[in-house]
Amino acid sequence: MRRALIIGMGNPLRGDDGLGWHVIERLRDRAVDDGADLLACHQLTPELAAPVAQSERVIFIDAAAGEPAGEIRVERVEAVDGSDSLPGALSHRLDPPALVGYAKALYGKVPEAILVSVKGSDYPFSENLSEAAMSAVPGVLRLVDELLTGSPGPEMEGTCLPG
Amino acid sequence: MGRQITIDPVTRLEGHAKITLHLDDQGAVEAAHFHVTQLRGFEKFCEGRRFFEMPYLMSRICGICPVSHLIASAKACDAILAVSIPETAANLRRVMNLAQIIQSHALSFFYLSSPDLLLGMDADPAERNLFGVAAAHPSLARDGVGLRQFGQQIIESLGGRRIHPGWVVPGGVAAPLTAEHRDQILAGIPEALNRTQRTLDWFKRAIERFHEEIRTFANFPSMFLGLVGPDGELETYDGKLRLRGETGNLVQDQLDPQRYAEFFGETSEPWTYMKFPYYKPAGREHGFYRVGPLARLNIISRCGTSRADQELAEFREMGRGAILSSFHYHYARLIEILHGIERIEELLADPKILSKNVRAVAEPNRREGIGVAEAPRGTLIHHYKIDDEGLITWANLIIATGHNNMAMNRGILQTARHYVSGDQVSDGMLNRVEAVIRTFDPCLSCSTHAVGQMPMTVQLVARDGTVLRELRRN
Repeated sequence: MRRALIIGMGNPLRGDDGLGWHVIERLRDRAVDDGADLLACHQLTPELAAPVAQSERVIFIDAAAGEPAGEIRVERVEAVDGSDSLPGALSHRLDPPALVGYAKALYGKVPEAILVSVKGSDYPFSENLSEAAMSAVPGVLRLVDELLTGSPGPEMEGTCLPG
Repeated sequence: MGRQITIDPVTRLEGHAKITLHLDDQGAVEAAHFHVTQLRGFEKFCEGRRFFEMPYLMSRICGICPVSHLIASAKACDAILAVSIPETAANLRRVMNLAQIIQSHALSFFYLSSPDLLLGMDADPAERNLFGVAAAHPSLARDGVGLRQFGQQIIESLGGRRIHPGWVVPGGVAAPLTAEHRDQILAGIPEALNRTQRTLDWFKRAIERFHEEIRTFANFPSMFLGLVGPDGELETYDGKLRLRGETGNLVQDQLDPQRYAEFFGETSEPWTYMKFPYYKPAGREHGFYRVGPLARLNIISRCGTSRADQELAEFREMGRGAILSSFHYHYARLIEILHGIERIEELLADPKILSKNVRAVAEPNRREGIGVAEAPRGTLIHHYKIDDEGLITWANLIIATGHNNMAMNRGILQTARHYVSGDQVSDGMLNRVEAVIRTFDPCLSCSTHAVGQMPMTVQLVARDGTVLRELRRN
């Protein structure tokens, strides 16, 4: 079983929606063996249930709508069972709770799952992040390091500003 | 008073497609239209681009079958270069195309259709989904996940990424296969074969419950089109075109794909952006045909691999001549997955697959190029013209789903006539109209791949625009 799986999700051609990909690239660039597998993807697809079920901890990194731009939010992901996650579950695309729930349904294993999201501001046809989203990346990397070394306590959940 | 039933949207993206069912004064369905309401525009906006950019640009047409566009486009560019690409490069492209077919068929069968097939067309939509399958038959669901992973991991091993790999280039491929990656792929073959065989065995028992759907899901005579190898074997990367009629008669054989325009034309209708390809010698009305897994199994002489050929023999016991019900696209997909796995193993067993000679380099030597390959959903044609600077001046794409356009419309009409009467629009009818479309697995930029996550509305509308009845599923 792998220790951790970090999944950056979004569209890297649509500005801040590519934040997850940027974070995964930064983690890859560090070339540090921290026991985590890294994955960047456009969508969470059902076949990701297999690597999710094989991990002790899964960290999802995504952009989020809302204000203030650049705000980081950390929250636990609770597995949802079947119909709770509809109608998306009819498709080939899932959200984090549904993916963790699907892993549970298929393999009977539920990893500790955490979603780290950053509120974006601009979603143009661009591979670049906005200034606000870019300024949040160092904070996300610090959070990921903390999450890899310890379990998120109540103090880590909720929101925090970049910096 | 004539009335109209509208199913809108049918797709994940707003405005992509809708279905209208036109009722006569007695409430019987007299016409059905599958409207594709989004204009893609790839043929137009690639004009002025350098021809060698085309494979990567074209792969962006789709997130499910990017490899198919990549390969057909690269073959069109090979023709512009006027090169014969190295044998290893052709075989590596073959492996990637087969992996693409495996993962796409797995998505269609397991993620999209198995809820209907396992739980029944009339099952509660709240349960007729991935989770319902996982609860009712977890090993089937795990096999689906495993097969899709298998195909995607091969694409990633070869191309560096699962979606939109840029590894297939004009003249060959960008990098050779490593022994490590070859061995990783080969290690997954036995389990992939087992998963497919288990699913086939299950499905052959399950179809006993679907006699009515088999009878009414786009079950009619048509021609069938696809590529075949020199001996008529299943060929998805190269080969020549073969067209068979409903009795199994050969209409065209070993037709050079470079001559496609002589034999296949396209018409359009004012109510949809998707064109209607047809076989010119038979005319617009009678020249319709089907492509994709069912068509391929109907046209070939044999699959060319042992397990798949055994399954093909059993498949053909279902009828004399061609198998006509589109319900059996599902069955055909499973046999093609089996063939793909076996064929990949054969190709990788050849030591020459590790050759470093994987690309022919040349300047443009022709002003025009045509590339044809079999995508998961059927025959895919890319055709480009360039100017003296190598810039695209004209492009024509005939997408696999387009070939099936007439058949899908006729299929919806047949299914609707069987299940719809007057204003009695039931959820079961709605499910079946969705399901008949899904047999074709049309790819209108991932159209039916996510049909369930959009609100589905069936409206009975009077001629004066009054909505007589509405059925909506969120």
